[in-house]
Amino acid sequence: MEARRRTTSPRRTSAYATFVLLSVVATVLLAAGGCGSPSYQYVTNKKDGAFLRVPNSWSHQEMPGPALFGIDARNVSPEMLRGLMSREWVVGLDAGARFDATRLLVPDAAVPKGFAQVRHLLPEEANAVSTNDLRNFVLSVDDAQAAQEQAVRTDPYGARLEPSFLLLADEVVHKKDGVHGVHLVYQVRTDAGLVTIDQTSLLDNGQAVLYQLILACSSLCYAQHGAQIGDVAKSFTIKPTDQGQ
Amino acid sequence: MDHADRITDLTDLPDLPDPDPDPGPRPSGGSSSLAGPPASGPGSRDAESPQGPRRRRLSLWDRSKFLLLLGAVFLFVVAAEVSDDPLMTWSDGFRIQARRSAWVLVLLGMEVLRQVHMFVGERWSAYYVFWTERVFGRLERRFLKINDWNRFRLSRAVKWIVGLALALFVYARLSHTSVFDALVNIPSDLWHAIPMVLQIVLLMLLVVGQFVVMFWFLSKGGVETYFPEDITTRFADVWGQDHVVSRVRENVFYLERPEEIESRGGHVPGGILLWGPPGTGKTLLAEAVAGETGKPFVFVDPGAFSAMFVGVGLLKVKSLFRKLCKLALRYGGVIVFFDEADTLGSRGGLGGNFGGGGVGTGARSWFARQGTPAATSPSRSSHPLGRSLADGDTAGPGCNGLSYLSAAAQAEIGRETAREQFVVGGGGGGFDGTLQALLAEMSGLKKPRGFFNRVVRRTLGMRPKPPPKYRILVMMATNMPQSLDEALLRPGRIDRQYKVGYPSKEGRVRTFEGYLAKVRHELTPEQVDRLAVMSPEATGATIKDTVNEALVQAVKDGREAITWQDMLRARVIKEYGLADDHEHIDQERHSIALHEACHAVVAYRMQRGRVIDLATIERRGGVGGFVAHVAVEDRMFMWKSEIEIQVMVSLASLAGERMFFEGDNTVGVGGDLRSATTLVASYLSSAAMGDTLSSRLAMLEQQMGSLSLDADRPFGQQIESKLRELYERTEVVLQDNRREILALTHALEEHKTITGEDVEAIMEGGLGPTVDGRRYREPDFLSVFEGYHSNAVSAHRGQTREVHRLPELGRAAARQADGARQVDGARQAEGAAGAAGSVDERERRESSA
Repeated sequence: MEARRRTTSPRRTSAYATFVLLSVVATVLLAAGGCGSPSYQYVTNKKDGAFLRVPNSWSHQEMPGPALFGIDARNVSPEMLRGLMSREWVVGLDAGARFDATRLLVPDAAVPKGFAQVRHLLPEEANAVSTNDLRNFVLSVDDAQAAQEQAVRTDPYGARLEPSFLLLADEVVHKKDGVHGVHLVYQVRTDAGLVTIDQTSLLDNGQAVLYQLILACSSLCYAQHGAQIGDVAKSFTIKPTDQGQ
Repeated sequence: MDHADRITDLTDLPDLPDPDPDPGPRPSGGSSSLAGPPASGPGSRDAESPQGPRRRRLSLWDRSKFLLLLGAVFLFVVAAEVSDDPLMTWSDGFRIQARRSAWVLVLLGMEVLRQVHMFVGERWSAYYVFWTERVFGRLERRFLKINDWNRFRLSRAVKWIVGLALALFVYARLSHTSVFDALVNIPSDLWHAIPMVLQIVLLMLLVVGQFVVMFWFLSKGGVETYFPEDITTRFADVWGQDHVVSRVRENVFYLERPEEIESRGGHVPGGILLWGPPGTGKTLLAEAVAGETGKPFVFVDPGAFSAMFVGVGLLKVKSLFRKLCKLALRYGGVIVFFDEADTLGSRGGLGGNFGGGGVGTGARSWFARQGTPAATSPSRSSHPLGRSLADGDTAGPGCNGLSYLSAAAQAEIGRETAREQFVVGGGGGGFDGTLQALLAEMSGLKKPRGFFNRVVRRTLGMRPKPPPKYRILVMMATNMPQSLDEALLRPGRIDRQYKVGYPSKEGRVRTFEGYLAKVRHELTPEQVDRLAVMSPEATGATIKDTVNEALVQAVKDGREAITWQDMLRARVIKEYGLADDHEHIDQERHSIALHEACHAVVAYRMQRGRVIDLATIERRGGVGGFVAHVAVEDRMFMWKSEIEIQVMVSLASLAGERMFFEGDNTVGVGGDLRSATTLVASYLSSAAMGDTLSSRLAMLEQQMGSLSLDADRPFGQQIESKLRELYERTEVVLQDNRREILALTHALEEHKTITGEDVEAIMEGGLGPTVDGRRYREPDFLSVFEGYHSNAVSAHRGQTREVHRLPELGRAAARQADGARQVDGARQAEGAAGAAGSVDERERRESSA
């Protein structure tokens, strides 16, 4: 009897061990599913190869092109509508507790807001676009800076004390696979006060797809959340694909 | 140790006998309420034990398979999340999917719970009984009430739904959409996928299609279909095989009216094998079947299944039977005929069922016995059992098929038989699956017919209709039945085996009459009858050939009608071949003639059931001359006395030469001595021809050499003594027939070839077709020819070099002029050697002198 036990027990033990292990794995999976939450939220567009990582407290939502920023499609010219429609993918970003699509680019936002977009350029746009043009997609940065310099020359003290435009960062970006563009951070004076805008505009190697990440909030807010906004901008990763063409 | 532990320990022992290997619901030893709690899950069963019923323990695989499946699904969705996202970490992917695909984890948790439930049920009887009886019992019983087929359909539908849902889920993850979006998008996605699918299909068609087309072409051919109106041959055209025809008619009758036998609970025989020597009309019989029946007749060429590539034969078989099934359904039956069926091959080991033989008798032995001693070659024909000896089959015919022996004894003997037949059996291909495919098609499973029936009905959850009853009659013909596979001949495939042997005498007469009716001839019914007697082993094919040869002879002589002489000449040419263009020197001609005359005289005086067909001293190949015999009776067994007579006929040459040449003899007797010795040795050792009863053959087969009869009396000595005894008897016969020997010698020297009727005429002093035997009864013949012979002996001694003329025979000389013309004609027909007629020969001799 003892001999039988000895000869049969290893097989049985290993079987039990396997079963127990599987049960433990299943339990761990269940526990992980129930207790853990991810560190970040991931905004991804695998079709066009655009990836963004935002803090877990932020919210984001994919938006239909024509409804962007609360524009009424009935009042838009056909050309503009076509332009808007060509933005194939737009995701609104909002660090606020509740996502509000209509207030994504208000100048007095107390928390960072913005959007990421992938836009397939029209052929004529693609032919005409240059890296320098990328700077002026939201605001004509060069004109604003020239105006500011002119104001400084006219009123050196006043213009410096209350600048209408201040370029905080201006760098050319070169990423893998020929993705290139600019990253700008600037302050603009509006009626509601100073607004800081973090703008990343990139083109793929063939200059046919525009990838943009725009984040904005009041300068005071930027002073508080600048590092967070910088992390988000830094995470903006492009892996160009040709699927979207 | 508590109660539960004790149970565990007991059931842990794997060597304990399984209490119930396949338990169904059954009353337990305890209360009736526990009677037969049904299993609550797949693969789970009750295990009876003294402590009450418990769940049968699951194997590890059964425990973990759903856990593994769900785990794999979850890992897949996590991997799909993480893949291609440079920012995503595995931990975040895991957490995201734990929320997004929470249902997988829920199922996983339920499966864990279920396993725990089962685990407890395996160890705790009360728990198990509670769940199976109280909770699931009613549901289970209701479920079991559902019809088996419906239950199967239900489970199949559930499996399909689950499988499709899982596939949809995976597809949704792969396409980064929700499950519902993926479901909605499926039509458009499919539409978009059509070009790619078509490309793949086209590529596959290109790759696979060329093989399909090639094999399709290769699998065609070799099969011809005939319809009744295509063939004019009828059963009435098959002559001399009445018994086989009647049997085959019977089979065709049942094919055409299956209800006659099926309504009585029988079945229609599925196959017929026609076997027998070549040319006996097997194919003709099949043709007659095709002509007589109202069903299509499919003829399969002998080489139809031989193919360069392995597998083509198999395709051909399948294609053939598809065609047969189609024809059988359309016409209510079909006949398929495999000619030369031995080409189908064999895997060896066919039992010796042919010819009713015993040990060592298969079809081969049967054919050996049926061998055509007079028909094949002169060298063999001079032996009464020439062919069987040449084949080395000395066992002789058996009787009763060993049925008088016990099964064990038959098996013991059968081992030897099987060993022999494994070597001789087989042949052809058959190892590439063709034969096996044929076997399977002949009696394998029949699948439901039609695409709609098999696929659509089954897809819709309907039972396919049962396959129809195909009425296919398989006919096979072969002259090598031992080369057929044993499985082919089992009942259900080839049920009936009919021997198509040599035609009966009536059949031969009718065949001769049939073929002679197509030409002009002057033969009387008596002569036709005699022809049939003279050709006991003639077949339809040989008779047709002989008549044609006779016509050739007649046309060569410028005649329109065939005469008796033409028939005789044709027979000689066809039976024994053409003679060499060779002229013996005078001394040798005399000794050879004397040699053959001695054979002929002993044969004539002693033989029963066999008559002399021909005696010749014309050379054919390596044979200087021979005396050929034909059997007038188709007999199966020979008597010991008959064997002895055969040996005496063989020894006659030696005895004669010694008698007439003062004790000298040529080496030409070597062949005769060899056959005499072989005959004596084989029958002495197997048929109690000598003093002993033991079968030496059996001893040799069993390798019991040390137990052989040589222990007390050497076997060779027995043979020698027997031969000596027969030799002395032969000498007596020869001495009593000295005049006949000399008369035959003269006739042979004069005509070189004489027929059996001539021999009879000489022996009896009558009138033969070419020789007048009466002249040898003249008083002066013996003295004249003895003188001639004495001169020949003197020349043999070397005392004289003078060459003497073959003496002409006094009063018969006047008749000689008439006879010479006939003989001359006969010789011309017999070939170049025959062309030298007796007159020419004398002229030549005279000129040389």
